[in-house]
Parts: sequence; C-alpha cells; structure tokens
Amino acid sequence: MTVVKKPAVPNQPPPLVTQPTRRSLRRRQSVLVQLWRFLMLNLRMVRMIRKAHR
Amino acid sequence: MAKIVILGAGIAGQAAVTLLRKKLPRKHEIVMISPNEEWNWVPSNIWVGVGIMGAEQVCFPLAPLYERIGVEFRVGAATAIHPEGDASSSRPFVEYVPAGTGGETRRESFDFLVNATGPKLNFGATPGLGPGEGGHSWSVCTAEHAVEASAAFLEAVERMKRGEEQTFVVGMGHGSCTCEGAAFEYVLNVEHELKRHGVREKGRIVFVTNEPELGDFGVGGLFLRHEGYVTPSHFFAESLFTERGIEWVKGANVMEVGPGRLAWESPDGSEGELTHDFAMLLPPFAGVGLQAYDRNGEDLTDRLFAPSGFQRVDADYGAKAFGEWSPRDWPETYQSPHDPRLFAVGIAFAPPHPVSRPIRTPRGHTYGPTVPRTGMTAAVMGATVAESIADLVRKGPEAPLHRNPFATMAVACVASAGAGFRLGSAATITMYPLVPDYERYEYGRDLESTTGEIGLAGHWLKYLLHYLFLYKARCRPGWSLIPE
Repeated sequence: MTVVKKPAVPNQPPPLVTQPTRRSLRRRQSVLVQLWRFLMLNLRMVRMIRKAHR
Repeated sequence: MAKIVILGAGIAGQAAVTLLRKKLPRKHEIVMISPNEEWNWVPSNIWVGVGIMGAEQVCFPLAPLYERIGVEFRVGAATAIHPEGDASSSRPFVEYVPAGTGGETRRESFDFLVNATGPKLNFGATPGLGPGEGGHSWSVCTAEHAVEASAAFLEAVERMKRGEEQTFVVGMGHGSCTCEGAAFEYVLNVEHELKRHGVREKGRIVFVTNEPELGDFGVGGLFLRHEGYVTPSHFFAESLFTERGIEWVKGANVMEVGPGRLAWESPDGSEGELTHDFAMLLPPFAGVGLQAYDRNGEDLTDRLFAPSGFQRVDADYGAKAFGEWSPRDWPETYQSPHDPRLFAVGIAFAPPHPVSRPIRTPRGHTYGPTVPRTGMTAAVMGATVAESIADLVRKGPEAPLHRNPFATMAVACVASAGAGFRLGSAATITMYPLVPDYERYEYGRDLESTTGEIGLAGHWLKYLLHYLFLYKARCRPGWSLIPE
C-alpha cells in the first residue's frame, strides 16, 4: 500500500524510521573525520574500478 | 583501412570514440554522428537544475576536440542502419539527417558500427509530462532542460521569500522510468538549496517514485552491512528522507501531469493525487527509433531491435517469469547476434528484462523501474566495445572479443545530497555485482564490496569526479590514465 510519510513536526512522537544520532550527524560534517573518510572512499573506488575493468 | 562509425556522443559514445582513436592509427577512419554539438556530463545536471552551476560548467563543444584528435564529426541524427548495404553496393551504411538540412538524408558507410544513441526522452508516455508544449513539469535530463528547471525552481524560491508556501514534487513521471538515482539526488539538492536560501520551512517536498521501495534504484535494492547488521537499502533511504522532512510516495505509476497537479496509480490499484507549485519528473526512456533494412530494402528492424526500440545484443531475450531471471541473461560483449559488425552500448542496448520485481496492479498494469545503464556502466561498456573493435581491426575477424558481463560489473555511484565545500553531502554507494546473484551470494551481492555511506567526503568526491571526467572527455594530457 502506498505510504505518504508526513514531515517530522516538533512535539510529535519520532517517526518509525531509523534516524542518525547527533554523533553520527556531527561525524558526517566534521572536516577531520571526513578527510579520513575521503581517503578511504578513494581507496574503495580504486578497488571497484579494478573489479570493473577486469 | 577500416572505418568505424559511432552513433551518439554521450558518456558511452565518448568512451568508445576516444579509446578507439587512441588504439587505432590515423589511417583508420573514425566517424562520430551525433545530434548534440556539445558533450554533457549528465551527472552534474542536478546541480544545474537547482541553479548552483551553469550549463557551460557541464558541457563543452565537441567539434574542436574531434578535429584535434582526428575524428570526423557529423552533427545529425541517425535514422536507419543498412547492415548489408543496398542494391548499388554491399558495403554497410547508416543513414542520418544532418542538422539544419530540413530532413535531407545522407549516408555514411562503415566496417563497424557502435550504437550509443542513448534514449529518446519519452515525455509522450504520460499526458502533460515534460517541459515542452503541453507539458507541466520540468526535467534535468539535458543541460538545456536543467537550465529551464533551475529558472522555475528559483522563481519558486523567490515566491517563498515573499512569504508564499510552495509544494515541490520530484520523481519519476511514469511507471516504467529508469534513473531513479538522478531524481533521488535532485530531491535532496532541492531540500538542501531551500535550506540554504532560508525558506525550507515554507516548502513541502514530496518524492514520487515507481520503485517498489525507496532505495531500489532499479537494481532491486541492495543490502548493506552496518554496525553488525545486514540492512536493506530502503531503511537508509527512508532515514535520509525523514531526517530532511521529505515525504514520499512509492510504487507510483504516474498517469497524468496537469497544471499544478499530478495523478498516479498505486500498486493496490488506488489512485493518488497531489497539487504542486514545481514538479521535476523524469520521463521513461525508449529507443531513438532507428530502423534497419536489408540489401533489398526489406525491414529488419524487428530483428535488430527490441519492441522498446533498443538494440538487441548478446543477451537472452527469451520470455521468462520473475523467478526464472538469471544474471546469465545479461550481455557480455554487446555485439549484435544478427551482425557481428554491430554493437550497442549504454542505454542503447536492450535489457533482457528488469532487475527489480515488477509491480502488478489489480487493473492489470505491470510496471516498475528499469535497470540503469548510465554513468560508470555506460563508459565501461563503451571502452569494452572499443577494445574489441580495435582488436578486430588489427588482428582480423578471428580476434576474440573483450568481455565485461553487465551482470557482474562492479559499480560505484556518488549521489549528491547537497553541494557546498563545508556543508555539502553525498551518499557514496558501491555495488558488486550489478545484477544480484542469489545462487552465489546470500544477499545477492558481495557484502565486502557493496557499501554505502553519507557525508561531506562524498560531496568532495562527487566534485572531484565532475572535473576529472570533464578533463578525461576533453582528452587533456594523461586522459587515458583516468579510468571509466
């Protein structure tokens, strides 16, 4: 059945969907953490490119 | 001396033409026939569509490039393939209509033909869909469409700054659409830009998709290992939307787009309707309508092309039920079974069937997302076919073809969730294999290689790839070191 989710509104119960913690949200935008993730993502991309060009 | 004709200067066609030119000496002629005078890095059109990039940042003119690297360029649309020639000559040729000639056809002979024509944007499939005459929605499929969408989006933002509330609808304009990832990126960028303009609280954003679940992306969704659990992708997609206050309608077969309203059919047969102030809805794709004839002028179109208009290649097109679909149904060489001199890559090849489970409604409609054949997969197919043709030219017709099975391709996709060096974000997704194989993997794919994460680093990567692929397409020094 089609479900239309309403946007979260203050003072309402949280939606029944997995939500990131404040720590996760901070990590997603932290320059230091993301510099490290950028290096890791590039390594992951290299692995995928090697697989794609076998 | 061999002559190779490539139809279509998109991502797949450009990968094929540049690699062929690199591999083959200049005595071999390479001809590009394309209706587009400019090359467009389509994945960045979503940024054009929200007004943070101009068309000139995602396009460049092809004629000077082809002159520099030694490719003949014909600006025009191919109309027919004659693989056996005609009564006057047995040499195969393709007919095309040059731009600005008012319909007069010309012919270009070939020894090998690569069909990389991409899709016809089939706005006509849904009444009122599209930015053209009689249309009530916008598109970001081409740079020109994205510029128009951006102007309409920024007008809506201005209305919000004056205090008006606006509803934005983004998604798929028909049940059989593909490229859900592009609409997914666009809706996240719309939300990000409304926040940046300081008007988010005045906007309702609704994502309308033909996917049975969010995060299906036409590949049947994916499973990701995360914090000790194996979690289906729809959990992450729903989380991203809920976090941003984006509503969604899934499994929608959009039936009609009117001025300021949109109607769809749901999987249970019920109807839904929304009013909107701005709608960006992608069209379904069809083949560009190429015809084929034998030497006597008899129509070969049904043998070379599937009913959708896409070209048949070395795939298994036998009719099968959903449970009988196999990764082995998908092509490996992209060569036509009808004629070994013909190849089709990117969106131009006919998929044997979808990957996602089709939706059947009580009214008897069957629809669902089609597998994406764009971006990295398109470029890899173009390069694979270029390697095969270069070997056939240099070593003769017995040279083995290069194989890169579509089903077992490794794919990487960076989906923007908003631009900005400090506040940008993108979901970086890798997937192997592209077509799930439940005989080989418990969850259909290798969980080591199938990953996803969102963050600022993804945006930096997307931005880097934007410049890297434009550099590669322009054949700047060292371009061939940059992989597809």
